[in-house]
Amino acid sequence: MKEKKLREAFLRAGARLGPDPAGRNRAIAPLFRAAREKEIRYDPGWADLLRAQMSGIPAAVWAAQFCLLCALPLLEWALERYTDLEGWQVFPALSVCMAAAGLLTVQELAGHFSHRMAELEQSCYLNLSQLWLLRACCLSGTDVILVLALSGLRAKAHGFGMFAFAVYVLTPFFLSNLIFLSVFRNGRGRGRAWFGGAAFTGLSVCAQCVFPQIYDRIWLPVWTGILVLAAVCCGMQILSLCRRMEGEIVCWN
Amino acid sequence: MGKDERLMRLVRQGRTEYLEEIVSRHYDDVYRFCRFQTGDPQAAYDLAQETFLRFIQYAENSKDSPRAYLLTVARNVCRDHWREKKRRNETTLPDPEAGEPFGEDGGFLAPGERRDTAYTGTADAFSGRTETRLLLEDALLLLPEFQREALVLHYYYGCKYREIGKMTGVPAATVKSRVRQGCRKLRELLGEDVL
Repeated sequence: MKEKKLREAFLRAGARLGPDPAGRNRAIAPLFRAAREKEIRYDPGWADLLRAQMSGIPAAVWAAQFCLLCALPLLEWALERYTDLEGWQVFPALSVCMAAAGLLTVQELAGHFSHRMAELEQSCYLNLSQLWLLRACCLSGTDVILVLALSGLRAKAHGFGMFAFAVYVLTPFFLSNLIFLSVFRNGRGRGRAWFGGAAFTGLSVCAQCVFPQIYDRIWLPVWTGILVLAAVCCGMQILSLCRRMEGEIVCWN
Repeated sequence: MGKDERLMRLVRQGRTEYLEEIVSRHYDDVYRFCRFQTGDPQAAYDLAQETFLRFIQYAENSKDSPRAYLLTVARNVCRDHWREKKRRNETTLPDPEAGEPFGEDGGFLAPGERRDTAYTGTADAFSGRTETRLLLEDALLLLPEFQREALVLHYYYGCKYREIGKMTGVPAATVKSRVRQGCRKLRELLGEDVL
């Protein structure tokens, strides 16, 4: 009751304190002038930048990523249903899928380094480093989120914990990303380097088949260490590539 | 999305003509806030103008609704105004002990001018509404600035404690206590029967 009375008293007071029409018009005129002369300087926030970059990634890349990631649970389900493979034996196949998803990410990002692309984007006032970083985060982030979702759904079926499942699948993803980024950075134009990178990635997957004991619980801390190291190195590689884009040398390919 | 938000979105997209509509829609609100804060119509015009000029300057950065953003800017502008006055030692806040009266329009009187009300000039004299014609807006000016702004934002503009906290940079619990203390003082000044 008292609240209502107070509110009414304030509204009455407000009605008494309104501007007189002549004074209002006089005061508003320069404000309208300032509004007409105003030039909007668009300064997008992180959400806007993210949205713009997401829409900038070609639909084909999204489709390929989506197919690969859909293949992941399908493959896992099919192997479990139609073969006598044990839980750990599914992981090499999942690792190949994740490595391929990583390769797709790097492939898309590498497109920005194609001949004259940097000059073109620079002349269009695009912030290449920002663009690169955001796209890398978008694509990798999507993969990681989907893998985590899969881990949550399927970890129990294999007798692994969700954490262990995620570590076993994400490690090859980050390792392959790291290998491709390193080759991309240091071995551009050298076919042997690319071949070496691909071979190393393939062998790292085979190693899991040859030495199944690496999926024992005892090795989980090692897996985790490799995953963290690979993720940190990937981040450093991306930042380093971004820095390389800045400065006087715009196009360095 | 409300009309204000739609207008702000258009402004951010470069349609500056909509700034005029925002100014028109919110001028009275901002003016009243400044008037509640200062009690002086001329100062309120100046402060409202300063508020809108700042708003126009930074319009593209505003993320809140224009009303909340404008009231926040107006509050800061009023604070700057008082700080500047204090710095120049020209504070004309009415001093109930000294018996300085308010103007006819709720503002301060020029030196020598007196209001033809029964106002006797002491806080005690405000306690009986029948003896004085002290208005709510006059009594508000006797409160500390932070209580006044909390009361005005809560009771006149209908802002929630959380919103006021966001505008003033204090927790909602602090706003609530300011409002409560302000109400108590207002009742002391204006009388229980009035509020």
